[in-house]
Amino acid sequence: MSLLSVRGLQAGYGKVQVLFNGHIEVEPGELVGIVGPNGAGKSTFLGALAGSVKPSSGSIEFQGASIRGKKPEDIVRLGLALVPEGRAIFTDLTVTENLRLGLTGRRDKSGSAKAIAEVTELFPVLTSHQDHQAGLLSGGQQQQLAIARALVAEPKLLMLDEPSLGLSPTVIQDVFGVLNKIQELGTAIIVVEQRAHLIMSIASRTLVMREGHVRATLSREDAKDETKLAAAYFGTGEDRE
Amino acid sequence: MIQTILDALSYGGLYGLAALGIGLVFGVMRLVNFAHGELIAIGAYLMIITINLGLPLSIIIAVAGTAALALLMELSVFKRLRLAGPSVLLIASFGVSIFLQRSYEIIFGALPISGQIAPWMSGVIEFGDTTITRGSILTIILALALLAGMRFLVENTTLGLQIRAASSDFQTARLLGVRSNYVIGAAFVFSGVLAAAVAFVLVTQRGSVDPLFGVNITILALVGTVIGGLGSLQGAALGGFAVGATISLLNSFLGNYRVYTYTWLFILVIIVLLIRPSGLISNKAFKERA
Amino acid sequence: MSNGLLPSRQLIGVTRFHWQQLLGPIVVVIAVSYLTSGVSASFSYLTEGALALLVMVLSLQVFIGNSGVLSFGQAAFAMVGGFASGLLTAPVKIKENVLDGLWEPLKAVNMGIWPSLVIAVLVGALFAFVTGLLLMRLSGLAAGIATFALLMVADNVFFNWKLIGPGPQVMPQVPKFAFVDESIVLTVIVIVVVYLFGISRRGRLLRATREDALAARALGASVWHLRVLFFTVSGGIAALSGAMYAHHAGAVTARDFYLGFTFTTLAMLIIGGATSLWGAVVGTILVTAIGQVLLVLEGGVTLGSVEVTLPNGARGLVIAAALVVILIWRPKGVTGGKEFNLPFLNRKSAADPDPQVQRTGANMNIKP
Repeated sequence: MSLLSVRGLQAGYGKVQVLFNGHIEVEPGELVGIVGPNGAGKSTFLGALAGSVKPSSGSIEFQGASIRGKKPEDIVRLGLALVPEGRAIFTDLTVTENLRLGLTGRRDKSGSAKAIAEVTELFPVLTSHQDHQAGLLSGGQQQQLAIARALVAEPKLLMLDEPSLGLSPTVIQDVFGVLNKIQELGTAIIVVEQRAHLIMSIASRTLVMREGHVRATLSREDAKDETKLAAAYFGTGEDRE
Repeated sequence: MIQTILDALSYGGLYGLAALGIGLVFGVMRLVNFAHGELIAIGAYLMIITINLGLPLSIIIAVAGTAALALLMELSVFKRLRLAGPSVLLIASFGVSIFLQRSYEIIFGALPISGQIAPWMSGVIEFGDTTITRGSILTIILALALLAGMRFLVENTTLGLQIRAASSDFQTARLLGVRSNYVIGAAFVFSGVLAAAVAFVLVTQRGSVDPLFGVNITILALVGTVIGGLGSLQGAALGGFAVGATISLLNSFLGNYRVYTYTWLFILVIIVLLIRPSGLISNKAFKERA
Repeated sequence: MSNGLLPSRQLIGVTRFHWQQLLGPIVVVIAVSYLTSGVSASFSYLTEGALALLVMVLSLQVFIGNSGVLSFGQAAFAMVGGFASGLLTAPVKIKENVLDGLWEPLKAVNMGIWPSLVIAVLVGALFAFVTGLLLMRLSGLAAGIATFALLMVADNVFFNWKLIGPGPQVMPQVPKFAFVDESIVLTVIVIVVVYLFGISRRGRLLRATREDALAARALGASVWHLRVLFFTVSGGIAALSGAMYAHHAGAVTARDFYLGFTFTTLAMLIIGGATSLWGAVVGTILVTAIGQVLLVLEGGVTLGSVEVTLPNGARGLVIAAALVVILIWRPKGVTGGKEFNLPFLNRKSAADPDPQVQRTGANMNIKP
């Protein structure tokens, strides 16, 4: 049984529909990428999974149970966490406070201290900034904080929306390096990225989205083939899905 | 002179409490609660009606009743308007306010009901050759105590942390697991408690309560919250303090011209809004795609 | 900018001239007015007052309904209009005796009701124009609070400044309308004006900004211009409402146009449906009717063998409750924000609101 199984998902904002046919399967511990141009519906897709956008139709099954239509605060307790686009850390709160907030999403409160310890190990930079206001951190540090905050809830599936946004190449390397470690801990990951090359070489599979549809699924080997990539991105009239 | 300063401080503290009550709810759900005045009123009514049971019990009843009404407002009306924009919430709170005012008229009658709540709040204390009113000192103490209490709650408890997070970015807070209804309900309950405190001071000052008891101070506290910066709890308290202190000072010094205090205050509000409307609508917090 | 009160995406409200959308409300207003005023003298008085309120609701509709911006401030312009018209028409002797602080030229002037109405409208529009220049940059909550502040300032000033009015007292002896027909005529004129502004190109542009914040930004500075224009018109109409009320009650005081007045008229608009002219009319009739029934019940009435006496204040209670209920369950109002429409009066099928489109076979997916 897949960890996450999504079919025919449709969602939008008010009367504007953005996502027309979202589907994905994620196995435990897998790293899956979603790429595509602006406006493809990638963020909306993640939002619909996390519960911040209400899907109009389709099915979302997480660990065998339907989570469509559930509230975000309930979904995170079931083990599905989202790191939103732009990091969305609470700039007025300290680093420690941000992390403590992440604990709210834990189903099992007893392991809280251990979780924070684990996460600070993964992101040592956070320890030195413990009591600083989160807004004072650099972009890269904020991104690490955002990820750490989501991890503290010990999700089974972690979703990241454009983690490379606004970051310099070295920092991006650091951040993506952490993703591997997170995978090693057994957490499945979905990463949405506009810069396809960042994710395609490390993900076991990458979905290519365009205009609200999943147009193609590329494996790690496919990703090295430029023509296949271009075809998926720009479309040849025949879509592979 | 000292009395003038004390008056300014005590009015400032009182309005700060009122503004904080409004600011708490605004922070978590972008609702400017016009009906906050009616929370103050019910606190006063409950106190006056139950005073014969003794002051401590009367206060407990008033606080419980006010908090209950605040929660009731949220559960019956505002919860159902979660997805509505701030304008709709504003009108709705206006409607709730009028509804409650008329209810009080029906239940308690339109005429003021008088009562002596805490005679020890009135009277004067003498320090050498200066006399100062007890009420002003005690109000300052009460306000400081409550503001300190709220500050502790907000800065040092998990609930306070969740409220701060929800006020800053409601959507993200939910993504982290903060239970929205719970946090909003808590904000309403605390705003009720603050309203009860304001009611206590006002009712000891005026010695009576009527359906329109809370209207004036709410309008002015609203000014304070706007000026101090909606969305910031400290800002609300400070803004309320500024308004209260200013009114008190103007009353002392302006003489005949103090009738125009409101005019200057509200012109100030308009100016603040024109310069910093973004102080009201933080672009991170309440996106329309709820 | 879609905020639940106003429909998203559908251009509910007038787009082209449809006779029945204009005549429907006019006929209803005239018919209801004559019917009720024919019952008794006191009902005639009631109707006259209701018509003044309806004009006020229309002033709210033309601005709030089209721009989607909440404004609490129109009552300020009603104050201006009421005071202006009242002062200009009150007998000179009264002004000299009762209003001693009044500006001398105002004391000496005396004119008939109708010229004073014109001046009231102009003065109100001017005030609205000037304040609009400042306030129309704001939207949403900021606009609501700023216009509320405007009302507070106006109330404070008019309540206290003896140079321009009676201050805290009542200005008496304002000449009254001789017949309810005068109010009816004025109301009909206002309905036509509001309708024309609504279907005008500018009106449609303004409504487009109401629906779509992005479109608003695309239109850029024009949004501000449009809002100022409609705010000005709204101010003039509100001033007329104030003047009508002055000549109905025979007296003016600042508190006539304060929070209670603002609440009642806003409730009428929202209960009826903020986006349409028909909504304004329906809301006013409904709320007035309910109010009257409750008033009678408050006085005590025997239904069969049961004596029913509602407590005082039940009226405001019910209307406030109705407002909240509508906001929760039917935010577009009783009319759904649609204009007057009896389907059998349409020459084309009821599904097509615009005959011209069908004739040309143009794309039916007209996006606002």
